[in-house]
Amino acid sequence: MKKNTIHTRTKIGLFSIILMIWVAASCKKFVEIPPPKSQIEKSTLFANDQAAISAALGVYATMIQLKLNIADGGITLYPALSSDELDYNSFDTELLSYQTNSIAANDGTGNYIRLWTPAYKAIYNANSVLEGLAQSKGMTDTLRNQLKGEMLVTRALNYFCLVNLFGDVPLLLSTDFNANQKSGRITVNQIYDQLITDLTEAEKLLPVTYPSVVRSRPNKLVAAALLAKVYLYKKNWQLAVDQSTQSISSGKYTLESDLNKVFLNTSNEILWQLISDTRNSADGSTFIPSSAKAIPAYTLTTFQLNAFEAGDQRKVKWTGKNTVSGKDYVYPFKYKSRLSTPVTESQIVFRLAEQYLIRSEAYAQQGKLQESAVDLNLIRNRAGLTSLTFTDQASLLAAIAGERQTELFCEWGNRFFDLKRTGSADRVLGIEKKVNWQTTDALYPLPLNEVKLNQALTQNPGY
Amino acid sequence: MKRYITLIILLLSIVHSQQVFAQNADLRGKVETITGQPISGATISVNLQATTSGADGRFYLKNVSKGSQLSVTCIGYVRKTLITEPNNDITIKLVATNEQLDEVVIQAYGTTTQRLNTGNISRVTAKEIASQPISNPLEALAGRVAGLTISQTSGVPGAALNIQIRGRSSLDQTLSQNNPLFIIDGIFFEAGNNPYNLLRSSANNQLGQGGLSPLNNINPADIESIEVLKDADATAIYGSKGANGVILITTKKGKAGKTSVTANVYSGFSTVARSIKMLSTSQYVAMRKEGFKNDGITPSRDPSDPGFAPDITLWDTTRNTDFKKLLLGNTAHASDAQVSLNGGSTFTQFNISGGYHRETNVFSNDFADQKASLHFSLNHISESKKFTLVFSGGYVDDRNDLISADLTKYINLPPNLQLRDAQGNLTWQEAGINFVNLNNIGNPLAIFNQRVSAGTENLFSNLSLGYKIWRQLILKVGLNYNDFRSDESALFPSSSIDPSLSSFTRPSSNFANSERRTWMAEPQLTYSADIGKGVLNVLLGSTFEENRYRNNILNATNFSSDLLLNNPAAAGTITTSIDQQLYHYAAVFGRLNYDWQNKYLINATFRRDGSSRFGPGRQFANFGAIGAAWVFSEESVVTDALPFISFGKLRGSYGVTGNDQINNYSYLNLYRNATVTYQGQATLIPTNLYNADYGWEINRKLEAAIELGFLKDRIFLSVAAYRQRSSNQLINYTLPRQTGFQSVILNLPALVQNSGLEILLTTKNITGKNFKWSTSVNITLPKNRLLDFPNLGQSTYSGLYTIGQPLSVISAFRYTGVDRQTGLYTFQDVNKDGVMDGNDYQPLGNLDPKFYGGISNSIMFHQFQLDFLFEFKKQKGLNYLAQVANNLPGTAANLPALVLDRWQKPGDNASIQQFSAGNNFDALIAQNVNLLQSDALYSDASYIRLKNVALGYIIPETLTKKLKLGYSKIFINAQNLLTITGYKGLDPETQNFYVLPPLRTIAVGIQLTF
Repeated sequence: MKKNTIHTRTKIGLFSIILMIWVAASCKKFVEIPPPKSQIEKSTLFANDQAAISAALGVYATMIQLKLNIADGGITLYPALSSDELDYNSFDTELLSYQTNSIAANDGTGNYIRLWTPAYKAIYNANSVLEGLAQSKGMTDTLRNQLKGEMLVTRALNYFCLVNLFGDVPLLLSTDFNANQKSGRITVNQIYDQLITDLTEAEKLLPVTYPSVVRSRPNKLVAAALLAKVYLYKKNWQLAVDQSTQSISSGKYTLESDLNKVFLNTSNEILWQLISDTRNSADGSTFIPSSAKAIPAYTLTTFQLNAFEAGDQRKVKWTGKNTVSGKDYVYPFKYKSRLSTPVTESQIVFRLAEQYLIRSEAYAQQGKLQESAVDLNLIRNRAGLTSLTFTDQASLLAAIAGERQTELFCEWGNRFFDLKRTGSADRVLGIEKKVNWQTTDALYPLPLNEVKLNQALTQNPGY
Repeated sequence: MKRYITLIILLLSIVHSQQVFAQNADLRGKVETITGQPISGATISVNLQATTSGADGRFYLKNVSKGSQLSVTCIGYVRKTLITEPNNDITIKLVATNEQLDEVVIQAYGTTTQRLNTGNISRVTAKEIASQPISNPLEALAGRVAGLTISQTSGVPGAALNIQIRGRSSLDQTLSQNNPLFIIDGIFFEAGNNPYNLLRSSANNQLGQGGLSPLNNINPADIESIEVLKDADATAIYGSKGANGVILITTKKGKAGKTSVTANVYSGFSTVARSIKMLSTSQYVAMRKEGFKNDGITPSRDPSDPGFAPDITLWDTTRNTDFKKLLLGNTAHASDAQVSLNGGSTFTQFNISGGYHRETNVFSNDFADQKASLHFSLNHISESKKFTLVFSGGYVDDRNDLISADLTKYINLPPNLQLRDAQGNLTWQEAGINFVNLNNIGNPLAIFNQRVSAGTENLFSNLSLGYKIWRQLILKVGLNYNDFRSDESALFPSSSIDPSLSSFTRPSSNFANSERRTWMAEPQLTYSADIGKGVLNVLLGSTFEENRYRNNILNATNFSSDLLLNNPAAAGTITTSIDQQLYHYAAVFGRLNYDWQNKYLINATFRRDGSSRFGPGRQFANFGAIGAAWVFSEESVVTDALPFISFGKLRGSYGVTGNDQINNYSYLNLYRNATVTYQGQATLIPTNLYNADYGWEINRKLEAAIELGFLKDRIFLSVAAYRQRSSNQLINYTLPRQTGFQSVILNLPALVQNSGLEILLTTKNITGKNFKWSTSVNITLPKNRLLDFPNLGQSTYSGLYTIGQPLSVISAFRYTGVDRQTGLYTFQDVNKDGVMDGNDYQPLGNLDPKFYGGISNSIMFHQFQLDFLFEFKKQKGLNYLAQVANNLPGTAANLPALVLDRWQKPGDNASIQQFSAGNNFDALIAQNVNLLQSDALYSDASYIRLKNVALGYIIPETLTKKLKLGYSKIFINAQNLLTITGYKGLDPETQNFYVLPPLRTIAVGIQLTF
C-alpha cells in the first residue's frame, strides 16, 4: 500500500520531469518572433505591388532629401566651382577649396558627405530594391520589370556622376556589406560597360509611358538619354546618335520656346526630374540671392558671361543680377524660385536640349556636318541666335562646345565633365584658373575616411 | 538543450538510489545549546519521519535504520546533520545563529545566508531604505554597496540615476550602458533603468542625457530588501541578462502574528545643496567692458556694429538679478504617508500597504511629483505543508508635473536682464532691443508656462505556486506580470514664446504614450536530499518571457491659439510616429548545490538562453558558473590555533554571463516608412544594414574572497578580488560609406577588463544593553582597462579609446596654461606641426573613480537611534571650465566668479585667458575649439558626502503600552546634508553647473504601530 503511494508519487515526479523537457523543447519555437509591426521585412515588402512601388519611390525621395547632396544640386554646384562657371563670394574655406581646385582629401562636407556618401546611399537603395524584385513572388510582372528598369537607370545615373567626379570607383551591385566594405576601385571603362549593359536592359524593361504625370520617374527614353550620354563620353558616336534620336524623334518632347518656362516642372522639354513635395529645386535656392541687396554667394565668372554671344537670350533670361555698392553680381537664374512653396520647379535630370546637343556632337564627330548643324541651330534659334552653317568639322565642334557651355551651364556638372572628356581641361582651366590648376585636379580626392576604412581603396594622384 | 536535461535527470536518479537498507532500531536523544541549555521545538527528521523536541529538549524516534542521516533544525540555530547510531542516547548541540551570518539573503531562485553563500551578494534592507527620505529606491544604494557606482543625473524629482556594477564593460554606449538587470519579486523589470520619457523635460539635462527613471515607480516603503548580485556564482543563472550584475528587489511579505497597522508619515523640505557664485551686475559689466577693450572695439548701441552690446550700453545696468536664487531658490516640499496592515496565522499571512508621496521642486511649488501606491502580499501553506502559495503585487500611479527645461542652464543670463516691465508682464526686449538679438537670450520666466506632465502606471504581480510531490521534490510555478505605461504631454503656449518670434514659432503641444507589458512563466523543480554528511540541493527550471512594447508620439504644431493646446485636432500640423516591438526570451536553467557539514560548499549553475534579439542560428547560447567555499572556521585545527577567529570562509567563483542589451529586430532586413513623400505617395527606405550573424556579448567573471569574523563576529571583514572580462563586444562597427550606411552591428573581439578589490568591514564597537554602536565601512578599488581592440586606429573609436587605458580615458590636448605674453590658453603641440589637431591628442588620465565607498554608523542610546552614512569617491571629473568653454568670458553671458582670475596685462599669471567680447578670433579658437578638447576641463571631483542622517526616538514601551501602541517612533531624516569637496564647479556628482544638482532634504516624521 505504502509502496504503491510512493510509486504514484514517482509517476508524478517523472511526469513533472517530462513536462519540463517538453517545456524546454518548446523554447526554440518561442524565440522566433514575427517582424515588427511598425516596419516591414524586405521579403514581405516585395510580395506586394504597392509596397514595392513605395520602396522604389524611397530611392528617389532619399536622393533629394538634403539640399546639395549629389543629386539634389551637389553635382551642379561643386563641379561648377571647380570648372570655369562660378565664383564663390563668401568665406567658407571648404567651398572656396572647390573654386581654387585645392580640395583636401579630408574634406568633410562636400566631397564626403554630399557627393560620395549619398551617391552610394542611392546605389545601395537601388540595389536593395533590385534584390527584392529578383526574389519577389506575387508581384505583377509588368510592375516588376518597370521598377527594375527604373532602378537600373537610377543606379546608372549615380555611377555616371561618381566616375566623372572620382574616376575609378568601387562598383557595387549588391547590398552585401561584407563584400562591399572591401571592394576596391574598378576602372571607368569597366563601369561604363556595366552601365551600358544595365541601361540597355532598362530600355527593354521600361515602357515609353511615364508611370506618373510629371515625369518624376524614368521611362524607356530616359534610359536611352543616359545611354546616349554614356556613349558620347565613350566616343561611341553612332550609338550616341541612335540613343539620343530615341527621345528626339519620340514626339513626346518639345523644346520650350519660352526660355523662362524651360525649368518649370510642367515644361515639355523635361525627360526626368526629381521632385520634392515640399520645396522647389535645390539649384534655385542655392543660386538665387535672398534679396536684391544681398551679394549672391555664387556668381557667374567673367569667362562664362563672355561665352554668351551678343543677343543670346539665355544671358538675359537665365541669369540674374544684383547690384551691391555699385558693383554688379550676375548669378545663375535658370530656376526662378528661391522659396520653398508653391512647388513649381524641380531638379531636372535630363532635358531634350541636351539630347540635341549630344546628337549634334556625335554627328559632327562622324563628319555629318549638315545633320549636326540642324540640331545645333535648333538650340541656337531657341536662344534667339541665328542659324550657322559649317564647312569644317573643327569649327563645328568648337561651336557645339560653346553651345554646351551656354546652354548647359550650372547643370549637372556638364561643363566640368565636357572639359575633361574632350581633353581640354588643362588647356582651358590652366589659363582660366592659372596658378591653382593642376592636371590631377580633374579628379576629386577619394574621401580620406573611406580610404582609411577600406584598405583596398587607393587615393587619386595629387592628394 | 535536451542533453542538459538528461544530465540533470541522471543526477537526480543517482540521488534517488541512495536508499540504504539496514538494520532498524529506535533512537532517543536530547537537543541542547552549546552551554547545555535544553532546546525545545527543534525538528528532528530522518528519512520520512520527523519529530519535535520537548520542553526538556528530549526526543524519540521509532524504527530508525542504522547509518541513516539525521537532520536537526530549529529557528535561531544553525541546521545540523549527523549519522545516527541507534540505541544510544545522543546529545545534539546546536549553534545559535548569528544575526549577520545567518540572516536570509535572497539569491536567484531561492535564498541563502552569508554563512553558506558561495557568491557575492550585497544586501540593503528595509531599515536602511526607511531612514532615507527618497522617492526612488535606487538612491538607497548609494554608498552602501561595494562595487556599485551610482550618481544622480539631476536633482529634478523623478530624474534618472546612472548605475553600474563593477564598472563599464561595453565599448558602445549607444548600444549598452551596462545597466544591471532589475528583478522585482521574480519578474524581469524590462523598463529597467532606461529613461522612459519620450518627450524632453527639465529632467533631461543639458546634454540631452538623463530623463525620467522607471524605477521611481516603485515605492521604497514596500521594499523588504534589495540584493545586489555581482559575481559569476550569483549572476550566471541569469545567463544572457547577468553580465552587468543583477539587482533583486523583494517586496514586503506578511508575517504571522497579531493583526497590526503601521502608519508612517513624514513631511520635509528640499533646497539646492550646493551653489556656485556668479558675477554680480557690476562685475559682469566690467567683464564685458574689459572684453571689448581687449578686442579693441568700443561697445555700441548699433545692431550692425561689431561692438553691439545693448546689455551694457542700452539696458539698465543698476539692476541685479541673482538668477540662481530666482530660478532655483524655491524650497521644495515633500510629504509622504504610508499605511500597512499585516497579520496572519501559521498557514496564511498577509500584508497590505498603501502610500502617497508628493514632492514639489526647487523651481516652483506649482509643480509636483505625486505618487500613489498600493501593495499586497499573501502567503499560504497548506496544513499538510505540501502546497505553498505566494501572491503579491503592486500598483504605482505617478504623475510628475515638470516644466519643459532645467532652469539651471539660465543662471548664465546677464544679471541685469529685465524680466518684467513696470506692469509685471514678462518682457522680451528693453530699450527697443529684443533679447533674442543678443546671444539668443529668452525670458526664463516664460518657461514656467511650458508645462510637461509625465504620468506613469506600474503594475507588477507575482504568483508562485509550489507543491511537494515526493519527499523533498517540489514543483514550483512562478507566474509574473508587469505592465508599465507612460502618458506624457508637453504644452508650449504662446505666452511662453518670444513675441518677436511668434510668426515662426507657433503654439504647439506634444503627446506621447508608451506601454511595456511583460509576462513571465517559470516552472521549476527543486530537490533536496541528504547525501553523505552533506545536503544536496538541485534546482531545474525554465523561463518564458514575453515583452511587448508600443509607443506613439504626436507632435501638434501651428495652433491658432492657446485654448485648445490639449486637443491636437485643433493643430494646424500634426506629425505622428509609432513604434511596436516584441521580445521573446526562453531559457532552461539549473543549479546544483552541495553543502558538506556547513564546511565545504560547492555550487554549480547553468543556463541555456534563447533570445529573439538575435537572428536564426544565433538565438541560443550557454552560460554557467561554478562557485566553491570553505568555511575553515569549522575546522577544529583552525579554531584551536586561532581562537580569536570566530568565522572564516574562503570562497571563489568563475563563470560566463552574457549581455543581450541590444535593440530588437536589428538582425532583420527591414524597411521603414521614410519621413518624406515622393509625389504625395508614401515612401519606404531600408532601416539599417542588417547582419543576421551577431551574437551575445560574453562576460567572464572570476572572483576570490575571504570572509573573517573576529571576537565572536564583533569584527567582520570581507575582502573580495574580482576580474571581469567582456569580449565578443557588440558594437556599431564603422564601415566605409560605400556600403550605403555608416555602421553595422556586429561582434568585435575587443576585450575590456574590469578588476578590483572590494573591502567590507563591520564592527560592533559597543554592545551594551542601552548603548550600542556599530560601524560599517565599504571601499572599492576598481580598475578598468581596454585590453584589445583590433584595428582601433582605423575605427571611429580611435579618438575615444586607447589600448591599455580605461574606457573613460581622457584623450585630449595637454593644457599648458595661459601664455603670460599673449594672455591666451596654450596647449602642447605634440608633433610640433604648428597646428592643434587630432594628432596632438594624448591620454591624460581617466574619469574612473580611483576608489569609492561608504561609512555608515548606527548608534542606539536608550530610546534614541542615530544612523548616518558618509559616501566618498576619489575621481577626476569635468569642472566648471567645461561649461565656461561654451561662452567666451566677455561675451553676453554671465559666468562663475572663478573667471575673475583672468589675464589682464603681459606678465600676468592667471587661470583664465584674457576676456574677449567675441571679436578676438585667436581667443575664440583658444577657448571654444582648443580648450574644449583639452584636459583643462578635467580636475579633481572627489568628495565626501554626508549622504544620510537618520535620528529617531523610539517611544518607550511603558508609554506605548498605555496608548495601546506597538513599536512607535518619531524621526528626523536628512539627505545630502553636507558635502566636503575641493571641486571647482557646482556639484561633483552632476559635474555641470547648468544642471540641477542633488537636493538637500530634511524630513520630520512619526511612525506608529497599532
